[in-house]
Amino acid sequence: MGNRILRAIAVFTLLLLLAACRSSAPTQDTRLSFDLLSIIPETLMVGATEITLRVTREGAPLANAAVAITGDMTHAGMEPVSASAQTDADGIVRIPMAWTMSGDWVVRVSVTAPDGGLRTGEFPLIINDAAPPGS
Amino acid sequence: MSTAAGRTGVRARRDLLRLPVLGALLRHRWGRLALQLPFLIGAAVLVYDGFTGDQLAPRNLATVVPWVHVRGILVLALLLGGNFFCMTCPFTLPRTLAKRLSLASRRFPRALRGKGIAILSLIGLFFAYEWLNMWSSPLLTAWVIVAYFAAAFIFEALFSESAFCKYICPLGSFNFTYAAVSPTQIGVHDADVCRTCVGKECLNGSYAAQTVILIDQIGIDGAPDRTHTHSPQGTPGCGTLLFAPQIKGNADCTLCLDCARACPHENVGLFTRAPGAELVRADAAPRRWDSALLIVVLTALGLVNAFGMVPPVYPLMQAIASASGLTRLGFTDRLVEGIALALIFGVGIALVVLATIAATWIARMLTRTARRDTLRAAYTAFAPALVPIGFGVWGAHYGFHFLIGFMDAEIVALIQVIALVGGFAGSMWVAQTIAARLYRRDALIGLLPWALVMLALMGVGWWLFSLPMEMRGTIVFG
Repeated sequence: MGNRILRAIAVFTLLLLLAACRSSAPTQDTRLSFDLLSIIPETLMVGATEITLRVTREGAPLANAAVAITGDMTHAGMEPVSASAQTDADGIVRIPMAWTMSGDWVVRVSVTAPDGGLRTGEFPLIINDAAPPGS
Repeated sequence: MSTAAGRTGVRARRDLLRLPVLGALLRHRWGRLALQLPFLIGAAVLVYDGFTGDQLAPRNLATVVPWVHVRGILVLALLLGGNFFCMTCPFTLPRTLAKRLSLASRRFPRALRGKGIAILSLIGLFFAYEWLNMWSSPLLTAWVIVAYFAAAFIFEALFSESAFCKYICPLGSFNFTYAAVSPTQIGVHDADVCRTCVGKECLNGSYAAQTVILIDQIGIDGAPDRTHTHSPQGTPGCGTLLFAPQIKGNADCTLCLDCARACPHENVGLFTRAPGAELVRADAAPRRWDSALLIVVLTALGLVNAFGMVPPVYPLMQAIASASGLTRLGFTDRLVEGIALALIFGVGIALVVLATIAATWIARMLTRTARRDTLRAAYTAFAPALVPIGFGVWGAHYGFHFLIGFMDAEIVALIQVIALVGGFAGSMWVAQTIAARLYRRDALIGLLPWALVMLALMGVGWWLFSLPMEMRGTIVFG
């Protein structure tokens, strides 16, 4: 009886250790940063939008940085949307996104500098099914 | 062989436990354990990922697997096979350990032996799911899984029967209710064998701490000529206290197959049957308010749960909050949302329950059977008719989440319509059979009130599923 319990605990511990084989998060380049400048149209609805970001390194605009955006709904099971583009000479990047469903979204941004430095971040968005009254 | 099975509610076609390989696997002493272990490992991984992984729901197994995949597969499994979810449920794995540790072997309190707690736990689970946005929280989902293991263990240790499965578990109650549509059911080959069976092992189990030989029959010479043995190698009997030859449907059956393993006569089987066969049997549905209300409340919850994820729920909650003055009381948005949701849940469930009671009352009046049939008798007779439409509503909802990630939205919508209309057609078929049995020549007029209720339920479901889904957890009241 006691051995059985010990065996069960050992197996469970082994499983937890196996589950712990998770890849660690990539190192962040803290010199890089990005700001959300605008989302057009301002009234966020299902359909096409354009997200504009500015990427800087130590405060200076960063050209030719690869910016990838992924939108996930907060409910599991929905298909994510994603797009990517490169910053211009002013560090500006305009990325078209098409929201497929109304509700809560989490937008994850990944900036990769030309030298390989990486910076990631996220922000929430609420997408409406129709324009709110008065908008 | 088939005649006896027919008497116990199964028009015997095939005993799946006598199929080669599959039957041997299912009947094997460790058969259920072999099915549960992968799910136990899966549960451990979900808990681990829920506690330590990415807390964005679509990127975490703790939310993706239970709220998207399992629910969709569960509905399909019930429709095509049986209550395989309970069969493989890892939450009951601590049962043996709990039984060995239990000091007192007492029954669950008599006053609580019904579906009342199960109804409340179902309402509680779905309310918490909406209010706390469980669908978007891997951490919370992981805690729910841990709580499930703990609750199953505690109740198994405290009580002699599987009280958690039979009286409390909301998931099990869902499965027990909708396994009525499944094409399989436990039954016996020959009821006469059960009549003369000494040990009733399907119920009592064949486990004994020390080997005991039971004598089933004494021969002409006075010597035992039929015996069987109870031993430490035996298996427990039915945890939910079902006696195999009396089983008329899938209610309360966890499909653990302990009855089949324990039976020394190999008389218990898992038989194929016509899907939904028990719904039209006069003696299959218990004549109890709680059992009938479980079916009705689950139907209402299907609609209310779907309503919680479409755009009109948000302005309605805002309207409730401002009309009731909740926003002026300085409550947090979370609390205001909880109160508004509770009101929506309460009204939604009450409307369906009252509509079905009214339909029963009117049907009795129209058919002049009010003196012959009590309200309870008529209500409990008709309640099973809601199983197919309730199943259709849940199927349409869960099917959406399961399929939308990889299937075209128009095809998903078509599948939802098929589930809803199919459920309505099934309910109408069951209801007309019940009406014919209860009211004979007045069947049509007796069917009418229930048919209108079911039509209204389908209409509400149609409206809900025609609206765009909107997964929102962030509501700001003002």
